[in-house]
Amino acid sequence: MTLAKALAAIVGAENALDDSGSLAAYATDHKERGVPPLVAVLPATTAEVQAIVRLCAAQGVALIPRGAGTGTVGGAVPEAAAVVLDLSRMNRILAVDADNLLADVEAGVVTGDFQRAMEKQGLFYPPDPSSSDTSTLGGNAATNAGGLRAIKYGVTGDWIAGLQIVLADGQLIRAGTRTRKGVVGYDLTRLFVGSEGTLGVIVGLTLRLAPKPATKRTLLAVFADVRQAGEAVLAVLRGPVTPAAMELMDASALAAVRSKLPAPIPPGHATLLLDVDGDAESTAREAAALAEILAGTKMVALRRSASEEEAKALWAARRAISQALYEIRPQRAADDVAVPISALVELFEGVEQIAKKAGVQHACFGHAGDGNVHVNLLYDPADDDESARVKRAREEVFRLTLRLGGTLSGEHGVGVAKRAFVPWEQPAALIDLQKRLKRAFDPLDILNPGKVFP
Amino acid sequence: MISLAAEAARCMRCGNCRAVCPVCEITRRENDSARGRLLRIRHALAADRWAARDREALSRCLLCGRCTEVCHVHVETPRAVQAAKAASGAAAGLTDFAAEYLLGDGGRLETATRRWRRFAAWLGRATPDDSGLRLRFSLPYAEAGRWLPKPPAISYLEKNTGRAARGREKIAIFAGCGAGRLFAGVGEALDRVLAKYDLVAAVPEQSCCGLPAWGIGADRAAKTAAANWVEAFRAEEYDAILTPCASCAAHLQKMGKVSLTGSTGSLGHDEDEATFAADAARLAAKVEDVFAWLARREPQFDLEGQRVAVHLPCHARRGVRDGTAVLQVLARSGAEIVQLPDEIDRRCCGMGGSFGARHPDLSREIARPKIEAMLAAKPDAIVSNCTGCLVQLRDGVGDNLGVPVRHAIELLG
Repeated sequence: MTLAKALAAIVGAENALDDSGSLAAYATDHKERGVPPLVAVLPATTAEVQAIVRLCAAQGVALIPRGAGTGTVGGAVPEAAAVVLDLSRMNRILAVDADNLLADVEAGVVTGDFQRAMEKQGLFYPPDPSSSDTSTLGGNAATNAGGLRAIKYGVTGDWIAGLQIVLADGQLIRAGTRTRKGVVGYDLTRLFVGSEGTLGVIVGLTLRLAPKPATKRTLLAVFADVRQAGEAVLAVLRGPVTPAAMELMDASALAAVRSKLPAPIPPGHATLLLDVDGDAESTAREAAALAEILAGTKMVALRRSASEEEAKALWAARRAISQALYEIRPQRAADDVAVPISALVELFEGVEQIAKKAGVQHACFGHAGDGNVHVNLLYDPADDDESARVKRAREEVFRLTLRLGGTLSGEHGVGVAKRAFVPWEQPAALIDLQKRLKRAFDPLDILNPGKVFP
Repeated sequence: MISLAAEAARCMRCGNCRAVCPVCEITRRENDSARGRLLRIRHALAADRWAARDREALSRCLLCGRCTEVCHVHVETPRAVQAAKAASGAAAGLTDFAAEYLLGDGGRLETATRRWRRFAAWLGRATPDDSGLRLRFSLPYAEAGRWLPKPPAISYLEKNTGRAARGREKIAIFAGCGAGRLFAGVGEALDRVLAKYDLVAAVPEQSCCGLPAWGIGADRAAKTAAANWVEAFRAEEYDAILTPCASCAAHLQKMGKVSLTGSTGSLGHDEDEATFAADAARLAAKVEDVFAWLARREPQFDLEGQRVAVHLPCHARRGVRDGTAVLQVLARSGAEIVQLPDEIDRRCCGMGGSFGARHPDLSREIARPKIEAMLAAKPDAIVSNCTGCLVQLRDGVGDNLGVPVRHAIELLG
């Protein structure tokens, strides 16, 4: 029996795709291109996943778990003959435990669908990667996805109480607890979070929830340059208010979204966009406190939302940026480096110099409260010279990031796109230890082989 | 004219389309998303080979255009899919499909013919060879046990073809296959609406706009239909050509620009192509969705106290000029329009021309959430202004709930 037939016997013929046109759809993610898989298989149950893993283990075929394919670093893209395991059909919310603020879900539930379902019950799942309308909770866990609200609420991993994992031999395990605390054994949950499908297949998640904040307010602060905006970031973080989002856009980013700005902002300026959330009373108080803190900085203008509509208008430019960049150049290298917050300004200024020297257009914006910056270097893939200049500039951004004590990826992960650079950040002994861990979990090296480490 | 290859290559592969594609929402398969379809098209173009599975996969797109709305770079996937269908010979592939379908399971032919005999006989008798109805109601649709309309003994077009225009404005009606031949009452309602403005519309001899043929990639048949249409309406100078079907209107308004394949080809006429194209463009500019026309005139209708759930056809929302006029006209006449959540409101009904015939079960499943939301609002009527959508809504609503499904013009006239 062929591999495709054997997989079809598990999931049904319509969910084991092996025609070349369908497989072409599974050869890429948002950014990276790999090769088409041998078969793309879409199980509907944990038992089917186990059967697929056992089959692949028996035949020595590599298996690449995939959520919605919104990743940007090739984590779910095959590089050689492999089966892609698309978990999108496992999209049931299994149970919501409002007393203990926990929910059990399958890995393929779309993050935005889950957020909306919880909000209908007065509950809140805070992690909010910008792909949340499409990306899946399993994929978010496998990359430890971040998002806009991380400054106050943390990243995906902070909201995972436990995981259901199918191991490389087909065995099903549950990591984590249903309790607030739990220190029995190693924290395997956290190990699987961000492991990019190399240690096991995440099939289910037990997620933590919070009560839904009743309202939010938005403030947009304008500064004469990014240095003054960076100083304001530090002032805000000293407290007493923790914003629910704090987004910094520098002059390069503002230039790209000029038409979407609520009011004209002079060239060279930078903005901070801040949200506070909670009940009506606390948001009013916190917004006032933030305004006061900002008034003590070198801020040149401040706008505050008085309604949901106004908040949306203030966010419009930030939300439009990804789209706007495609209007400038057809492609972009989009890296998500993170630095200690005190080095944020040096990163923004350094990137500007690097881009200038390389003669490429760029746009920097990011989650200022986390020191996580989206560095976009814009180019036309048809222009070989420009592409080469972007490639070199990107490496310089990585060197700068590490010099500032930062990390090469704050939220996208390594996949294949940053694999070669991991040794720039981590010493050989640390990489070797992680490779030994991988071998312990996956001795046949069938789970997303070759990813993350060079 | 943009090329198919260039349009497919514009996709940035972000996957936003996965969140809104009605087909992908159900199957969850990447190859059923706009991104997946465009990657398939690129693959086939690079290999210079279209496989039978490619043709089958292309038929799984509703051409609803919802993906383009959320696309960061506005890739026109429906146009790309249509052009790929044409390039891949999908229309010719239909014969293979039909043969396989019928020969694959003996019972199918029996079930289909039993339900089908009368309707098929009517299709053969009362519709011209190029009518889109023959594509919409093909055998799988019948076999799946879906709703079949009861065609009128004498259709609107049989009754009125040849009528001349009267009144201060010279109006012509292009009825479309649905209102013209299949649904009793729609054309008559349109006549009553125009009578309120002291107008009688001309009804030239006419056939199909060509949209159903275009939708399956049968470009030659679509062009023949377009040529016949131009021939039908060029003889007289009309102030406006009104159609009650938003989909026909959208297709006719874009006539001449509908194909991405680059070759406009011969329209099957010996005369000068340029003259013919100029006539086509001039006539296309006169085509109006009847509600867009009504929206510019004094309201004459009283729908006070009526609660109406409106399914805005994709061709109204994303195709025809002033496509949302139907909502304005109904609201201005005093109807209370049921507000559906935006995501539900924007959804395709799932008919998608021949999609409903080719994939009847999937088509029904796509319709369900919207129909359920409409019924939950307890409207006095569910209305739409595309006859394909009306077939789908009628099928989904069923007989038991007492909620009539009607063409919006029937409420006015």
